[in-house]
Amino acid sequence: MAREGRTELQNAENAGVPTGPEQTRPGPVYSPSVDIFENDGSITVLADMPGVKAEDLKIDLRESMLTLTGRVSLPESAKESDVLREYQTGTFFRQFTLSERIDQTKIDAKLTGGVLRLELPKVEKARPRQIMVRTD
Amino acid sequence: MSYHRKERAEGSFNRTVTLPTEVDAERVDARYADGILTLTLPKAEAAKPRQIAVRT
Repeated sequence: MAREGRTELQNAENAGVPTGPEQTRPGPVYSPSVDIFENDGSITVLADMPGVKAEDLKIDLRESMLTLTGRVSLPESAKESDVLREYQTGTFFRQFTLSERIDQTKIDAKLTGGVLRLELPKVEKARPRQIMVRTD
Repeated sequence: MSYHRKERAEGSFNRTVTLPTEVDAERVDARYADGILTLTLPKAEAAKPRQIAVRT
């Protein structure tokens, strides 16, 4: 099985790349857990971002840098006092570098039950293809 | 299909908590949105603070 076609995916935070613009919103920043897998036609990213609404989720892909930013807003009112607080709200943030060329026009993003499913179709020419060898 | 990252867990969530006060079980409200469960448990009348008038 040829492995040359495999997309090299790097976790930008771990690669020492600056993690985007400086944060202007107060509160903790979380790195969402992700599953990333690919087939010949596309790369799929699943990210756990509980509490993020579609309008508070930003997905950015430029120069092969994929950035996910999701904001969780506090649903409680100020009148309440904590009984037990383990769950903190803040911002989900994660960046990846994609080595594969992505067809920007066919990207599909779906947010269901706090899980983001992002389909990144590869551009045609990046797909592996078999070359027939002619014989005389 | 090949995986690059496999960090998300699958399974079931299970948690039991003891509530600090009596609640009105009839009026409990449960809402699930965006992966977050919000349970609203109204306190039972007996558990609410009340003022007692002192007779003179």
